[in-house]
Amino acid sequence: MGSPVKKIMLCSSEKEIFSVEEQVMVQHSVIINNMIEDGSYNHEESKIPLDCVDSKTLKKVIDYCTHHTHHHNDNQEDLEAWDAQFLNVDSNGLYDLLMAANYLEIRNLLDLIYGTIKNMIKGKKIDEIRRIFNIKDHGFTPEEEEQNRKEYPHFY
Amino acid sequence: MESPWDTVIRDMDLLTEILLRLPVKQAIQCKCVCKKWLSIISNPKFRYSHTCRLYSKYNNKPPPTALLVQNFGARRPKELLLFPSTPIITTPTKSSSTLILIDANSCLLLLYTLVMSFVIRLESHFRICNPAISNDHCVYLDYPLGDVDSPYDDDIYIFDPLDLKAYLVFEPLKQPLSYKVILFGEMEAPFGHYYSRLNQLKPRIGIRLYSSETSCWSSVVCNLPNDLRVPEGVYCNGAVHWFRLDDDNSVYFDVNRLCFDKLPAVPACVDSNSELLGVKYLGKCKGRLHLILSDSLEFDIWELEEDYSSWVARYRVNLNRIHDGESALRWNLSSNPFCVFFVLRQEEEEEDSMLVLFQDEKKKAASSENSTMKQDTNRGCIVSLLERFDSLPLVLLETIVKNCEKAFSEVAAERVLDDMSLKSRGIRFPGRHNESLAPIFTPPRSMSEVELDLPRQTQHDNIPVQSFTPEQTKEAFDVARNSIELLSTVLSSPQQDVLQVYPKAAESLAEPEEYPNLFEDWQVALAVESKAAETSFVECLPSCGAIEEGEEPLENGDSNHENGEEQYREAHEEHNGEEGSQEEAVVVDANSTDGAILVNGNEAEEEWGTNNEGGPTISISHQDSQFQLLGCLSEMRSLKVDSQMIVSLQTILHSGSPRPPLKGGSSFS
Repeated sequence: MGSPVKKIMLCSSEKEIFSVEEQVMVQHSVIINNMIEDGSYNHEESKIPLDCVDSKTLKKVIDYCTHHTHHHNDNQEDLEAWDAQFLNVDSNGLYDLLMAANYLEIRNLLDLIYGTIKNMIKGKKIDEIRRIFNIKDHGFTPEEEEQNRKEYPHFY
Repeated sequence: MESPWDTVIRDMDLLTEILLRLPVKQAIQCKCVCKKWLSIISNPKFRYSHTCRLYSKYNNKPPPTALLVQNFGARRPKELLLFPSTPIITTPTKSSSTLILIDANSCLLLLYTLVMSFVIRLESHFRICNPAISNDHCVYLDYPLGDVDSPYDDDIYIFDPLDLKAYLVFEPLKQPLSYKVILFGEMEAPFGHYYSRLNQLKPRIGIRLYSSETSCWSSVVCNLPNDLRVPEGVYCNGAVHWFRLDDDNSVYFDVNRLCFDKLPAVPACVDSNSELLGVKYLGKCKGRLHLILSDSLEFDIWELEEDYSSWVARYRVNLNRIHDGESALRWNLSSNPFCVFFVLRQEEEEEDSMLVLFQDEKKKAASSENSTMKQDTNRGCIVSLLERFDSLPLVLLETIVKNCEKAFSEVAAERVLDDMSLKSRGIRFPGRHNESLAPIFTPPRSMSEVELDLPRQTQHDNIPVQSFTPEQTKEAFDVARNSIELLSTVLSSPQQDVLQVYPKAAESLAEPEEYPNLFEDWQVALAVESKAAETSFVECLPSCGAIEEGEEPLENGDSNHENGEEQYREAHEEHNGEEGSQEEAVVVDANSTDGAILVNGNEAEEEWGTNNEGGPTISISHQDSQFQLLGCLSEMRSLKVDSQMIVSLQTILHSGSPRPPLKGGSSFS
């Protein structure tokens, strides 16, 4: 057996430090992978500051990456069930996750979140979509809006 | 309080990523959410990415989006129709000619024209054409009459023009620039030849291969299996398949390797008494071969594994169940054997596979008191193989069958038809609710209310028969008409997009600047374009067609022009009242024509997904019916990806066409 598992330090916006297996993050996050590869991360002293990710979200992100690294051989159904459970958060949580995943460029997680948001839109009427996403100013003139509603009553 | 989504919504990239994942129909709907969404979704780049996603999702086999209907009817078929009143291919106007759509594969169609007078063949040829381009761009293939390179000088075998079967082999994703035609036919000594009188030569099977790369036919020499019945072959994934109950004769011909090979045995044949089974159906859908063997109302639908290792029972169908539902459709095997119309395979979780059946009801109809029903009547039943299925194919099929008196000339529609709008008006579709399996098709010749009611009274007392008012039918047509836009979008393909995917195809596109002699209207078009940028939308409408033409001169000028103009005219008419400011123009775009494009792409994803990837040939053939419909679902692959292909096809067509490929741009007003 060789060297102990390499760890890297991630620092949340609350300056809380998380220690994660390097392999886990390298595998999932493009950003961290790049940092490790180009040598800008020093294992002795660096920690990666993630100023836009709070501790709660960062913990979840790390959970996700760890689970998917260690369970990638599980069958698909189990993984999907785990993902569904994982994303069972309120819209604030989902948004935070999206931002974190976007920042860290975790493709799988992004896909998962986009898919969830897509499902929020899917099958919804326009009024509902506007409410969900808090779109107050849709930018259409009253006439246009009127016409849209007249032409596509089933959309609304 | 600020919603957390505000940031997401403000971030174009994030929003785009989300919208990209929406099914098309929803994406179109989302255009109405707000201006920003509208601008994202209307962006050609978005459409391109959306289509690319579609492609990758479907393993580069996006479902077809257009329905092509052959103009069959009381009189002989003369033309094929892609969309309402857009005849794309016509035969020479000889009264005795027959046009047969043989195969539709992606963007190419293979047609067979046969002009007969008594027994003498006057003319018969194959044509390859691209429905997205007009008639002039057909490539005519005169098939070799006899053995082109026969080793025997005295070989006098010729093909019987009535007993030919050809298949178009075109795999755009593998070889976008070439296609092949494989021809199987009975060969015999010419009528009246002394050999044939002496009966010394027996008919034999000849195989010819046409390759667009060499532009010539070659004879294929290989070991023929015994008792090959040419007309029964089904093309799928680069091979022609024949299924026979005796396993030894179930073979396929691999077009790449040019040899026959055996198909795996169907377990049912081995298990049960295979003599009782009959081959009900052999066809392809989504690149898979399906087989139905049946001697009863309960049967399996077998699907051939992609590696040809075995047949897998994919669906179990029990038609007896139909008795139990609210529909009391009687399937009487002995007197009225059903024939399988086609099997639609479904992969998307949102839709279901289905099976379309036809049963001849002629006897019953004739025995009913109402004498108006003595015509041929085809009654179809769509059996959903899973729990739900979508209504649109049904509407479409019903439209076709209803209009067959009009020789299917009216339409056939694209399945863009918004079932949302129909549902919102409380229209029910049989088969959707309570698993009802009411017959879908009304008799072909019954257009009047009285006649429509007849089958209900006589046979299906409790079944709600769905009929469509003229408005609804018109709506379906209108939506279909919108899809013309698809074609013009396809035709206005930017060269650079092609460049990314098919560098060779792009290279072969001439740059208008370099060849001013080829593109007469180029400068005019540029001028119009620059002028258009300054003037208002409405003012430049009439010249839009010309702009397109000028920019994309390699595309067929005519069809392009027509489509473009028609579309703009439509847009113009629709929003006549508003003096077109740029802003309104955007709205027009969003709500009318523009939507259709996306719909095409996406409806496909959602609904036509059921159909063959290779463009299945639907055929209704009925012993007693006077008509025969050979329709075909052609993959007019949507949007940009489509256009790449079409451009490459045009390259093929141009290089191989004996006719002048380039037409000077027609005038613009």
